[in-house]
Amino acid sequence: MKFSVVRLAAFVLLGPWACSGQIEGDPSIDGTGGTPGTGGGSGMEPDPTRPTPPPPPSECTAKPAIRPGASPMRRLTRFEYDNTVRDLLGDTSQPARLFPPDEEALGFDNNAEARTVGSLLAEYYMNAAEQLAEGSLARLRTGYPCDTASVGESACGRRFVEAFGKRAWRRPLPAAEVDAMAAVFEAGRRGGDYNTGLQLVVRVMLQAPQFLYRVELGGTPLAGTAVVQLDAWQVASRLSYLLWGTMPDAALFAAAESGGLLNKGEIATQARRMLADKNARPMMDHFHDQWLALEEVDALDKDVKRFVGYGPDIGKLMKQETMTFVNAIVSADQGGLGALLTAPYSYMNAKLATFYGVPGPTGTAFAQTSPEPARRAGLLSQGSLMSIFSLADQSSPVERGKLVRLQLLCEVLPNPPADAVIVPPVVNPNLTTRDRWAQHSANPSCAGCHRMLDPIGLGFENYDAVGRWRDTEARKTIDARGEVVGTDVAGPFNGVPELAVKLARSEQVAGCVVRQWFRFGYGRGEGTDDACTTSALEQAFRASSQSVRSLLVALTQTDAFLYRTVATGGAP
Amino acid sequence: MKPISRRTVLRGAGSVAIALPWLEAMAPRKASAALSPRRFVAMFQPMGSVFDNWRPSGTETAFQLSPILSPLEAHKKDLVVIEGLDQKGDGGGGHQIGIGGLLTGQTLNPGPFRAASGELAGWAAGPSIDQEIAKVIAGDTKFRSREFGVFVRGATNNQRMCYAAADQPLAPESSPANALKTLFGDLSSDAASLAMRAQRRTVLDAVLGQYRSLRQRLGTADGVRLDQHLSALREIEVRLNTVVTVPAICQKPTVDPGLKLTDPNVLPAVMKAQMDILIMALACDLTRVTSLQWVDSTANTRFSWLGINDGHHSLSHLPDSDPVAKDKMVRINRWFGEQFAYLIDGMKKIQEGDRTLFDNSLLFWGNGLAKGNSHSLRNAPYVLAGSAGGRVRTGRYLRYTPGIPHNNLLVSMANAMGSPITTFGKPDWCTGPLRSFA
Repeated sequence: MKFSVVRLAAFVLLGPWACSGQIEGDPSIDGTGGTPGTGGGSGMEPDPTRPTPPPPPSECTAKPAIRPGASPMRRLTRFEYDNTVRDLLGDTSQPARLFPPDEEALGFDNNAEARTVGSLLAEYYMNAAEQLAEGSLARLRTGYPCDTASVGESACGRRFVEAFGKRAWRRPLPAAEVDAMAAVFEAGRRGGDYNTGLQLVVRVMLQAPQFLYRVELGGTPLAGTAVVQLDAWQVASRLSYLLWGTMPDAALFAAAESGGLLNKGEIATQARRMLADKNARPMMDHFHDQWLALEEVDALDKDVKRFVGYGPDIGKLMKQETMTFVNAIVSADQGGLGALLTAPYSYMNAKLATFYGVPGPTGTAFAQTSPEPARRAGLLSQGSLMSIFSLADQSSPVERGKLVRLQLLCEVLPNPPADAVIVPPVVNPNLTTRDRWAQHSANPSCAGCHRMLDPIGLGFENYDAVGRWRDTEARKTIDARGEVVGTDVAGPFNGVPELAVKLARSEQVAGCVVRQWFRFGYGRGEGTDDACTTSALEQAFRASSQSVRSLLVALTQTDAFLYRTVATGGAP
Repeated sequence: MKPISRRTVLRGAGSVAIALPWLEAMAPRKASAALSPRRFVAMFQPMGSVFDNWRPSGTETAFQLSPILSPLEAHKKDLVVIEGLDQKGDGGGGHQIGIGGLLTGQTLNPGPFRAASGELAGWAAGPSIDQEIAKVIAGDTKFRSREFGVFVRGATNNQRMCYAAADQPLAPESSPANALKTLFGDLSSDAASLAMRAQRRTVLDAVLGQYRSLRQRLGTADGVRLDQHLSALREIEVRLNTVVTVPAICQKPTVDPGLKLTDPNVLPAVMKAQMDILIMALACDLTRVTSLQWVDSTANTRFSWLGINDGHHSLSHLPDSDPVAKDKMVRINRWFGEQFAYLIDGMKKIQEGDRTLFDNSLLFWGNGLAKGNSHSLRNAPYVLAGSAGGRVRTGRYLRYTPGIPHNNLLVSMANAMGSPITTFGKPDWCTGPLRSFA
């Protein structure tokens, strides 16, 4: 067990890898208005209680070399596929919901390096393309009109290839591609009719790598380096998939067409426009679904005899509470990460408030409410997280400790030793959770790691396994004292609100949130070449009072976003 | 071979005349067992067993089945129950290792998938035994193998049991309707179907052209991923060009279109549908290698149809001293025994010459863990059924001394299917075929 503790210590030391740096690159791309992190936030007085952030890596402070980091080719996720065919074809049937699930790596479904295509998925792509081509034919004839009588079927087919292809493949088609797709059209027309030709083109285009992947070849090489500045079409796609999870809209395409999107200021302006649009909401929900494990909240295993009134419908309402809360804070850009962690209010409707046993709004609509503000601490006191990070019949100091360590501090704990018996203590009406778990953490083979977890988790004891407040357990007053071991906010606390204040002050937590968005936004884990990108993001986050919205804009201003590294063995 | 485009009426197993316009070609299988191909089926369940309710009692050839194995009573003479083997494993959390190593006998590579602790692990470091077996027995069947799943959500190393190669997991098909479509959807030989296939070939040619031209411009890492996509497309291409000759016993199964895959209460119905399709895919000789994966290695499935409303994973972590939890785990494991018995029953109904499909097959029932609450993989529960065409002596209860790796069982299963391998999986964990097995 000693081995594991040593490893844990190493991870903890690596945890608060925060530093500051400038977002600065090739002057030609800097443009105007590109100062990151100014999208919102009211500025913040220096907080004397906040731990001092470590200095930026020296290589990021002087004029640094541009280092985009790894640039793997990304394939559309199910979420992105459905959004894209909706916008491309007007098809809202969400065919990708039936696809085999996306690999979930480092917590997210879009990690390019973890994703594989086998014959099963290739079959689904084929079937979906056939269905989509058939189902959208009438809309395509209307959307891409051509008078075959006067223009001729072949010429109309070619026009369709060019016009539809530019949207499907998200950039203009070079002549060779137009010829290849026109040949497909002709083959279809010969075997059937004009419509058959169109349908075959759509089927090919939807299965081609230019649609399923985000192919980024070409661009402008930086002399003497293996770095390429992306072209405007590629930037348009990066923006739209990052912020909306779908293909570029007309405005982005127009900007790319006119040679825009090649300086940071213009890109930041587009990013702010897009974040203000309702299309940003599904992306936000998709991120939080994954970061906070909210996907399963309506299918939790709960002992409904013990927790009367709980059911999948309550789980759904809890998820709606959390999503409404997060989006209200991010879209109004009020309070940033601090508000997410410490806000003394939440969003409920009558049914949810009744379940929690608190006064709240009437009716089915969700509204901001602030019952018993001293008990509330943003996300951390919401029923969704409290019930997800619990067991079926009892709360779980371990699961709640893991919520903080894994999701908020980005730490990694070792696996339990092989053959260690992993059983939660049996619920006993005469013993509190704290009493029952004390024995487990006294076991020397487990205690090393559990002292990282349990003392944090025990601070949540006022919330039961379905997220309701309780003052007593086993006829004793709840003792919600806890302790954070290690990290930059080490020390004791009493109850969730105090813990939340600590976490909101932690540079490690801020760095972790940045890392979560990095992984989600760039579809990969951060590597050694990303030090300056990460540092710049952290600085932008800090400079904006930890505004998530500003962080999202900052994500579009980094080396990792604006450039790519030419892969070993690849064409420039 | 030229497709036969005549309508044919034949009598199915239940003597009900059915029209089969979807058959491309038909040839009654020769009544010689020697010509019947061998088949392999692997069934997966998670969360471990309950050893004292799983192990039979008695001797190798005279034994009594346990409560968990009791649903297999009618097939006792066709079983090989194997006790005492250890599944070795490392490179990840207990559940990740359990499913990832069950058929691969391999460690997990480094990778980005989180165990419950947050520690990271990747895909298995080698192919699974079903794929090794496919090399020997797949022949020119339309599908080299088919992986069936029930409610497999998510796609991490906790959800993948079969691997084409290191880091190349094979995703199971969780939708019976889609399984049916893929397996039986393009066998027809009427004019519309021939036109449909011709179109698919045109489309696929053009799609492949785009992948090949892109491939030349990619670097190593992207290239490897695109190669996998390319070979998946080529598999479809080969399939489109394969003319199938199905035996007379072949009947297209039906699937209840009302099955809602998002509703956990339909799990037993989905399991049954997948087993029916699996059996018929083998009977029709569309594939000879199949697997059936129940959910995944960590799922908290509620077996509500057994009156058990606790999650399977939660239950498996209750202490040995909890008699109520133990009883529920026994009932869940016995239910898997019933499923295994259903597969056997179904395969016995398919006549192949003077034998049955079952006689020509080897079935494997494995578990993602030996014991749930400790994640132990020692003394893991394995049950085989079928003689693989007379190559496995059945009706036996084999007990091994602790420490023998289950890799040896994988070797012996492959040997029974005609593969000459002497080692499989991680070399350190394999000492050759299982002694006293053959």
